[in-house]
Amino acid sequence: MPFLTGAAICFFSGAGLIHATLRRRQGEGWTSPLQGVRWKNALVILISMLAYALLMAPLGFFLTTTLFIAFLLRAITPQRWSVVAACSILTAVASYLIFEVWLQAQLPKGPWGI
Amino acid sequence: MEFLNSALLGFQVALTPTNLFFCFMGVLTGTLVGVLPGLGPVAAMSLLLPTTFHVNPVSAIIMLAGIYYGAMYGGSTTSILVNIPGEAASVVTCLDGYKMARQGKAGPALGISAFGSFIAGTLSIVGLMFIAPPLAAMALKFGPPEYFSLMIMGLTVLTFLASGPMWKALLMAAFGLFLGCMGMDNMTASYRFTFNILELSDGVGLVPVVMGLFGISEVMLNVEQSMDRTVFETKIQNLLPNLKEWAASIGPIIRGTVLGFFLGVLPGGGAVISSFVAYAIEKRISKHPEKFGTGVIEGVAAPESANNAATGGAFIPLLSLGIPANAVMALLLGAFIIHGVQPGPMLVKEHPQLFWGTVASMYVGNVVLLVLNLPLIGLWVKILKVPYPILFPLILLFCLIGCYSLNNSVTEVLIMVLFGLIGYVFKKFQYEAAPLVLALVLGPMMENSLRQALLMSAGSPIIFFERPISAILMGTAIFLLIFPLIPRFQKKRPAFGE
Repeated sequence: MPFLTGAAICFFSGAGLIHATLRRRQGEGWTSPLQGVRWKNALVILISMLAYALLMAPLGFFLTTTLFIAFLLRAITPQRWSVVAACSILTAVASYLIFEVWLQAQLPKGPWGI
Repeated sequence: MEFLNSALLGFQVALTPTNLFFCFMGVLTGTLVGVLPGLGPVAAMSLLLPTTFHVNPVSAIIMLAGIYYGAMYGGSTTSILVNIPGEAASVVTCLDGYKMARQGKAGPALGISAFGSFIAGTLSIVGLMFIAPPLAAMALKFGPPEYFSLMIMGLTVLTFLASGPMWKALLMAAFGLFLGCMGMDNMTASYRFTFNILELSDGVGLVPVVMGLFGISEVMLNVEQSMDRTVFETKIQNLLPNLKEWAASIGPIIRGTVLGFFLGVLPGGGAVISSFVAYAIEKRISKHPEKFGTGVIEGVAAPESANNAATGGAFIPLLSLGIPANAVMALLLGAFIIHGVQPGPMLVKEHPQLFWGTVASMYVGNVVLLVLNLPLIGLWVKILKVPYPILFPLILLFCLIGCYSLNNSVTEVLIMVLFGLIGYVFKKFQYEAAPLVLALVLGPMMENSLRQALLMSAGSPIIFFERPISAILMGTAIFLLIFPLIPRFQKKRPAFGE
């Protein structure tokens, strides 16, 4: 099965290559999919999520969440600091209550016990 | 008599306070994600899957099913008021719904989509009640070769109906099957492609993959663009359509329902395609086709009925054959298995309270939705006004926590982020993720059936063409694969996107 699926992937990639070559012969140009968009925003999101996953265990759920929300609110479309502070702390408290207390998920604890 | 007894049993299960509560939660969440653009039913169901681990399977399934058809309702609201479809099945509703709102007829448009959805949802559940049990009885005769052929056909239909060139969809399906191979080999118990990562020994988790592909990548695409939307400021009044509007819509509703139901049953069909087809048909048979797109009520009634009817239809292959028809059903299959229930021909016999309870709860859910949606439209509009820059960190956070709490594993969160990136690249290059997800779920099942069938025939693949049911299914699949290659038909392949 792994061999068959691997072979299928190769086969259809080949089909794609031929298809694309044919279209280029017909004079179709290629425009970069990153053109005209703020792709750096997407990159920021990706990196911040990676950071969240890696920092969650050492820093604990509560602090990481607050930092994560605050960072995203400032980084993509900068909000006022009052909004940032209120949203991030509120979110952290609310999600802590929902997931840890109500749904009893085992969220990682930081050095301060939350 | 037996049918009535079973239906009664279903309502007994569905109307217990606990299940009523979960049904309510499900449809409420479903409507909410339907309203929020960029968070579809697939992402929402995978988000809430971990939260159902603590409740009994019946309640869990009832809630997850509620999310699915709730989202179908909610999607129409944004289509009509903002011209942004809350999810893919409501794309066509924008055409006439938004125009109606601009003409000050937002009320009847919202009203007819709610009533049409209700009628369609109800009728499709009745259809489900009648078709699923006999189909399950028939499926008991299926052996491994039939199952394998059926799954092959399901995947082929899905790739056939996918938008864009077929090789892209097939490539996605093959990639999904490959991902499905990861983890422990069922027959020899050896590990494949696990790279000594403990989390991969059971295979790649469905939830991290789905959340990444559908949730995170969507957010990544959304933050690239300017994030303002304008909610159309209008007084929403006269939610109850008048007699004239009813007269114009009742035909489209009925036709949409029948069409949506049968397209929903087809593997790979589902809500999106049925809404497009229903709209196209109404336009063709209408006495005034030129008015479509300028705000006619038929253009709202037909697709909204069709997408809701399709949700009922889509449950049939899952509940009676154990084979999911689309990505949402694949996720629901995952939920069944996590709760220790194997959907398939034996489900009706072994877990009648689960089967009939779920079906009855869908009916109850439709009533709840009707009651909920009409008065709460004001609230949904308010939610739409929450700016996206504040909303998207919350969506991401829910994905992160949901994924983590599945197994308390950081590795799975990393897998999710990785698939977020993969999904983003797929979307940039117009590859559809739906065949991948379906193939990922079907992969292990397909591999088992294939190897069992080959054991039966001592290694000869002829067995798939010797048994009549299997031969028909295989023949259909091969036909669908060759069909687009015939130059005469090349232009005729329907171009509907998931």
